[in-house]
Amino acid sequence: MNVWSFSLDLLSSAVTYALLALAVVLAWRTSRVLMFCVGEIGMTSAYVMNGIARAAGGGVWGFALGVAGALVVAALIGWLLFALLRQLSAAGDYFVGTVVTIAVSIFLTGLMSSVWSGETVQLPLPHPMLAWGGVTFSAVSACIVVIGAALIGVLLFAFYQSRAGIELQAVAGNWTLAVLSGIPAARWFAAVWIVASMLSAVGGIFSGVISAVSISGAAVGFSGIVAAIMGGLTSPAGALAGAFALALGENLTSLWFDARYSVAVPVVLLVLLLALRPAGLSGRVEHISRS
Amino acid sequence: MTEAQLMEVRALSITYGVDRAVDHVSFSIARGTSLVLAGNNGAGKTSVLGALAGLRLRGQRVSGEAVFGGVVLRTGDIAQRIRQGVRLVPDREKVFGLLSVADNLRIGAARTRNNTIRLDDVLGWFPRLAERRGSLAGNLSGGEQQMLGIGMALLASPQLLLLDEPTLGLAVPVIEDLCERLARLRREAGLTMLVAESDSQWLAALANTAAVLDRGRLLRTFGTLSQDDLSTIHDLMLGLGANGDEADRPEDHHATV
Amino acid sequence: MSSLQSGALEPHTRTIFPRGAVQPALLAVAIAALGAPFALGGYGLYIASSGGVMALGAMALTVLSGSAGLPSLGTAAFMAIGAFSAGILATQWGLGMLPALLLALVLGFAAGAGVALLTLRVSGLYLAVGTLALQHVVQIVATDLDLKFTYASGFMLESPHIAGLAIDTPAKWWGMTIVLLLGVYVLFRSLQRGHVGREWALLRMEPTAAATLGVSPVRARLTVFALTSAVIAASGAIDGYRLGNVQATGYSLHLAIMYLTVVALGGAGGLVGAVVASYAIVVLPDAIAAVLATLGIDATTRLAGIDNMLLGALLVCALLDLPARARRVILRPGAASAARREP
Repeated sequence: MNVWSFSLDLLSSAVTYALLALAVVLAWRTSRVLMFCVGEIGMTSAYVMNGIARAAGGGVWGFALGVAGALVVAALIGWLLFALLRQLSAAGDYFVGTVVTIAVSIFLTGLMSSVWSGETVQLPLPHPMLAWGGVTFSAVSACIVVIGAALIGVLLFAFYQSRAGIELQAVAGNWTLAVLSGIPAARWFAAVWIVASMLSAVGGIFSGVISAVSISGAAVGFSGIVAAIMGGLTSPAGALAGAFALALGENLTSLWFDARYSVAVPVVLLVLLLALRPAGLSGRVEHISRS
Repeated sequence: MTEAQLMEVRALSITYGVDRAVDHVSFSIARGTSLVLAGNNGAGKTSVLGALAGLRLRGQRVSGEAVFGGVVLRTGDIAQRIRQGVRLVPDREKVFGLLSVADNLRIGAARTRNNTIRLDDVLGWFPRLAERRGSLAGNLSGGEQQMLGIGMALLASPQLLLLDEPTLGLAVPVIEDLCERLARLRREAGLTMLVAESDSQWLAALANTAAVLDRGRLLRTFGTLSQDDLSTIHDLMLGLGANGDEADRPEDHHATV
Repeated sequence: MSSLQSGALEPHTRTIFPRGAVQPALLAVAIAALGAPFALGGYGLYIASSGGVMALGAMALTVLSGSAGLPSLGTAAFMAIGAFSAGILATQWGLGMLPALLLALVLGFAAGAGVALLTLRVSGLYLAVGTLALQHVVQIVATDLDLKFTYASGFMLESPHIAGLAIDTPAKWWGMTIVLLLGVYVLFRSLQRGHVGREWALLRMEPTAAATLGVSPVRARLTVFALTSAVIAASGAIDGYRLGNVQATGYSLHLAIMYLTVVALGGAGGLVGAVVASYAIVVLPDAIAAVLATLGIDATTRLAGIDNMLLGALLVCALLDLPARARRVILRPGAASAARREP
């Protein structure tokens, strides 16, 4: 285990968690719904990708087709979530939306169980080792890091540079006022849920590539949620920091103690966060003085 | 005279089941003028403004017609209103409390029709907003939130500004200040406004024409509103009939009760 | 209108039964309960007891979500705490059901209080996340215990003894179930009707008003959560004895969501609704299998998956109150578009 392969593992985990966490943050910012089903959408998409890739005979073409199919399925699930959630009245409990995502997560679990029998699957990918500058590392991990980072970069850019970030917050804060201000709230709402699902799909595929595709693999969603919470649920940058911290904690735990204990890392980090900085790493306190 | 009317409302009726919130109300607003809808709570003012802004509440039935600049406004189509340049500042929750003042203003400016009114103009009218740029809008005082809400609507360079109860919850000096600024706005930007107001003492400061509503019905309109009319309006709002103190002015439209 | 949504101020009001029908309904239920051992065979009584024990936890969860409006994914975790307490006490120290119940109550209360303390300071939603975290923790610990003490075969529990009487037949289990159901029902009913219940209801509907009256939101929600968790843990211990075997795999997230569905379905009917919904969910797998069999589909391998999908769909229907919506759309097609959310 050398520094380079450790770093690469770390980054690929971090990127996976980051994508899931960003999905959660995106959903939360727009609808105040905690997207519990990120992991399940991820795994379902990974299964779909696997099925299509194998049916298409493997290879690069099959792989590309599989990814496209997975993204389409994820977009459909996102659209379904949008359709369900917009039925909720604006004055209702916040929690109902969150429980709807819980319902979708169990639905997808059942779907994976009935369609693919929930068996653990290794994706049909070659795992070549590349050598560069005297160091060998996994090409697949490198690809994940590069693609993931690019995706995250695009998202952050769209978020902070365009007015999307603010307008999504507005839609979550007060739907009616948002519409009165000219914001196409319903369109944003639909777009967000579709994008969030597609992000979950990519995260799930990455996770499937790194380890394997299985129903229990959906637990990666919990890590994504914890990372998002570390960012206070509203800050994409905070979620990235959380994802990195999480990946670091897990990889270090595997390295110094035992791989079995790394499952406890998200929980430990969550407990620490709630005990010490409940508002998230980037929580803001405003002091008001009226003269 | 009708060609100069920017907004014409004909026989607007809004019912919630069996309750008639608004009953065959008609009025018109000329370009560059300001009409105030006077009336107590429950007179139907918010319903009228909401319907004109395109809001549609559950169980509501809207009939009648609203014509803006020659275009018939479709019920419930807020997007159309935005395109036509009709903007509402609601009575409650007029700002995005969890966003900063600067972000709120950005939202207001994002979908402007023609950039006639710019951020500098708004900050000039409401300098307090510039001082509080970084605060969360929810932490502003009532008067400041009012100014922010109006500022947001103004940044869209609207053709018609609908204000619902702008003085509600504000202290007297703040209201005086606000009325002064709105008057300045009308002078400098030639803004057309429709204001709903239940506090009769501010009516003349807010507008140059008035229509008095009571329990959904239009009692009387005042073609030229002056300070002297206030006591008449006050009596009307109290339920004392218009008993001939003030003769109808020639320009008055007849109330369709 | 499920108790997971904002509803009327009286969450414990019977909305499903018209007033005049209460007495005869009670009589009918009593007759059904007492007559069950004679009418149903062994398997029938087994199902009846399953539903009853599930109803214990469901009633507790109804109180939690109805009174405090908090979603909780911790039901399986608390049941595991109770069940594993029973298992360990029985196999390591030879202690019976009553000590197990006591320990389950204490541990459930402590765990519930712990999670609530950590999360409720932030918001009710974080409680849901906290319960998910608890589920993960308990799953890890339980799997470990399972492995260490029983080599993954599960803790074996013998028939419990109450005051010398062995509960070893389905009929006796049914008898005990009825007693427990009544006890828990009376407990929660009196809580809800008392000033504590009114505090919770007020807290849910008007938190600001409650605060001005001196009801501390965090303290009240913490109490509800800890109390209901204790009851759920105790029901876990009882269920462990009923099954005779306690294994880590039986306390998954799926179980927690099943309880959520029960509450969403039956919540509007209060405690009684929770009981009815418990039975509906308990017989669901068999009902599905029967329906599929008549349709000639052999789906035994996929049954677990189909059950889960149905569970998810049911939960969504209950949450969105789809039957009421469908009614509205069918009866008044024009009004359906006048929803509060207009684009």
